[in-house]
Amino acid sequence: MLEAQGIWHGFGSTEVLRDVSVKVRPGEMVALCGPNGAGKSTLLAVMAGDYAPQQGLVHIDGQSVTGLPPDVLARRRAVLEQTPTLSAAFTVRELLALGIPRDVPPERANLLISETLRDVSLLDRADDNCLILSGGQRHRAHLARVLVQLAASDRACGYLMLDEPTASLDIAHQIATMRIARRAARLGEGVLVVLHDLNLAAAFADRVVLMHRGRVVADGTGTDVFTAARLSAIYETEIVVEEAMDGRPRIVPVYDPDTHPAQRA
Amino acid sequence: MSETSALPRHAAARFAGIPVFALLGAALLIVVFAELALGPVRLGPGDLLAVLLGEGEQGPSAILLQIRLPRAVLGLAVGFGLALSGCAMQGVLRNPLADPGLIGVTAGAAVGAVSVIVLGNYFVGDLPAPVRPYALPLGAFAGGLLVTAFVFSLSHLSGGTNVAMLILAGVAVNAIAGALIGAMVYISDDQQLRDLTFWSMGSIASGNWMQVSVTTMLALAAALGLLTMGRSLDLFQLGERAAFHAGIDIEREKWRIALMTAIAVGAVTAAAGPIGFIGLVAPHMARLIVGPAHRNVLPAAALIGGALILGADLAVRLAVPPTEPPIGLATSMIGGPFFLWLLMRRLKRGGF
Amino acid sequence: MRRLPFLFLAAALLLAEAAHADSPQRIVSAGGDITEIIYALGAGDRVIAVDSTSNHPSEAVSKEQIGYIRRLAAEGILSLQPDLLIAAHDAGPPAAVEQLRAAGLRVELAPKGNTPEGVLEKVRFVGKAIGLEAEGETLAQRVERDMAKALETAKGYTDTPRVIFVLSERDGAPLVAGAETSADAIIALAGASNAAEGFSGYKPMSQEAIIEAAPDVLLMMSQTVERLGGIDVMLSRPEFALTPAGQERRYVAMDGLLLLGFGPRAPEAVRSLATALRGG
Repeated sequence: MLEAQGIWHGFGSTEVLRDVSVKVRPGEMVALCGPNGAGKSTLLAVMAGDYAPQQGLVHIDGQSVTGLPPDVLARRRAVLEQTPTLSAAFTVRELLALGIPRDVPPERANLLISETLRDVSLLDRADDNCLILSGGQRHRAHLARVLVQLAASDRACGYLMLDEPTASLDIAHQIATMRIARRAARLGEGVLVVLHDLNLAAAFADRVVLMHRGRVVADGTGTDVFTAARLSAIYETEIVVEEAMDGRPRIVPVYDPDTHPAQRA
Repeated sequence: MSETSALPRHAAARFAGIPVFALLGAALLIVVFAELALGPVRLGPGDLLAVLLGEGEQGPSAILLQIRLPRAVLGLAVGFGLALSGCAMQGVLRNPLADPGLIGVTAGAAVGAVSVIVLGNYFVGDLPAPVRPYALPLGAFAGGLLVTAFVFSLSHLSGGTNVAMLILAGVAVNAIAGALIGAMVYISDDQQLRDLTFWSMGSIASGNWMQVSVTTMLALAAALGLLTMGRSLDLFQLGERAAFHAGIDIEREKWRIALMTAIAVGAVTAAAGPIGFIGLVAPHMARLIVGPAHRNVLPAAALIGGALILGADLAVRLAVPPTEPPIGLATSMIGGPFFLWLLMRRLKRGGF
Repeated sequence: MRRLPFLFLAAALLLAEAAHADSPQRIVSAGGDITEIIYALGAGDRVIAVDSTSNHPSEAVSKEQIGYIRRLAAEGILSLQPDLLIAAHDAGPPAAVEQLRAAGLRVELAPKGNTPEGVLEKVRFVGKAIGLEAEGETLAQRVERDMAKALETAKGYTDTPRVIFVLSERDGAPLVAGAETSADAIIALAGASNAAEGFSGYKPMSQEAIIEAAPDVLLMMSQTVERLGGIDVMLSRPEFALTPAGQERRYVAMDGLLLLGFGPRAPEAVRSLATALRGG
């Protein structure tokens, strides 16, 4: 289990996280939602072991993340940054190889890379220079790099941490990315994903953690967490929650109060 | 951002890895052989053979064993050291224009070396002869390390370094180093001034075997260390945070690389004076030939760096005999325009 | 018995080699004073190459050039197949000198000398090194006599002008000769005093320090005068314009090697400087 307990953290005089506790179980996909500045990315960084929180503990399978050496940590969790970058003209295959530790034999590494590329539908671009891919494909290649890092690990399950993986993608790529993450959860990985799109969170996550001003204001299924009153309050704009055909909540912001059907009704 | 145009869709060179390295190795061997066989004094194949068999006459033996061979060895150490340092710095800083000379590491090493020449006498009296070969590289190492640590800390603070900032920091560091050297020149006496003049003109000729072996030992140790950093340097291309996520200890790796580049640049600068641009040109040529993966770029850059230095030395030795222009003249003549070309290319693409 | 001719041949070669060592025929000379002495000893035709500071006599200039005396290239010199490198004390770099010796070349470094005695020592040293010991002695004695006369002339003047010697310019400041320099030595020999006091070697001197030093005469090498824009430019610079030298336009420009070389022309340098300083 990946677990943050009573996390307090701040930069300078600004408190960013105030007594935050979050759990991610193996095989579970948890969405971290909330307005800008709620502290989602900072929480993700703390849970990834980027830095030690000022107060509180982060444990990964019972061990403190800040106590683990980076190479050991890398076998237990993989992180996709919000805007992954690459300064060298690597091929897609070479990019994925960056995720694989040195001690994995080359044949196994190649196999893992090919399988992962197939899973993300990039096998036909394997030997292309990353820099000639489209933005969406490049993002997916980085996602594959993160996936292969966990796949190469000898541990039964790991934790996948994605920071706004859909932010710069078109609708088709957003859905493709979320399906890939969902699939990882089905295969046993714990997935923690920061999402701005509340509908994607409601559609794909097992559990939603809603944050506001450094605190967790709700933690539960999408249906429990996403209520119109709560969302309208923390986003400070009017939001309507409907029930979609599949029974999941559908979150609709009110663009123009005068014309919105819910208002007129 | 990086060289899209530099690489074909399928980088064929990379599949033919072994022939490429065999070719580079052969090219280096040819240049080494030329360095030994050619020079203002004409030695026939017979002379060379005789010397190799230990039967040469005093003249040819001395020219080969006391002049050309130490030059070739020192040249290789200088080429390897500078090329690998440049390669490592470009990798860590994710910046293709990082060159030990441009960003001031060489200048830092120069300040260290000059301090030893000038201030050595103030602090420890005349240095005893057995210590002298180490004192200069040590001073240069300290100066180089200081600058490297400074430049790396810039990248730490900003999460990456852009070209403009790096070059400007280099301008500042070079200016400060220039001032310190100026101060040192000012307080130096006649003898020290003479030592400084000898040293600052930069040459791989200023080597006796003692100095050559100390330098070579240090530079090769650092070079071997840097050659093992391929994976780390590859990971640095993702940015420092992602590299940490992928499993490397960023601060430790940066320190190791800083130490090794400072040792290499320090040793090389102490022995041969400030030599510019090899650290810039060699890694670039290597990337064009073997692609961006550092496990290939590092050895290729080393081979190219060695060949470039010896080629430049050959050029200055043969240009206007019996005199010999400084080797830095030749390296800057190739490196300067190359640097400008890189800069223009980035400007055109909005690389800043 | 068949070996006998070879033995003779070997012996003959050895003798030739020995004679060779005594009287080198292919001399490389580094240092303007050294080259001058060799020519003064009448051995100029044995010189095959000189360094860039050797510009007197004019025949020397047409010899092969080995570059700056402090940046000798070992192999370049060897390629001329010399049998002697004779050089001033400050030739270098040391490694090149070492390599030349290791290659079997005879290398003689002359003693340092910017005193009248030092000149004689250098003359005798060079004479001995090129197998002209007697000629060296003769030349030394002549220089000694001339020097005595020159010093006599210098002493004949009762005044002691304060002289400032400007070697060149660094970062816009004049590079001035302090104590322990050849310029300081020749100024003293000419019966004058060095206006730049309180430092040794060549140092950039501030405008105010120069004005404070109040030199009566500005002394420069004629080569430098041209390079720095001519004597009018120099004298109108504020640091000189405000000194007695600038106000009375008293300056002396002399050939650098003559003035500072301390070669066989040292007596001539003393005499002409002493005269020129007094407006002669």
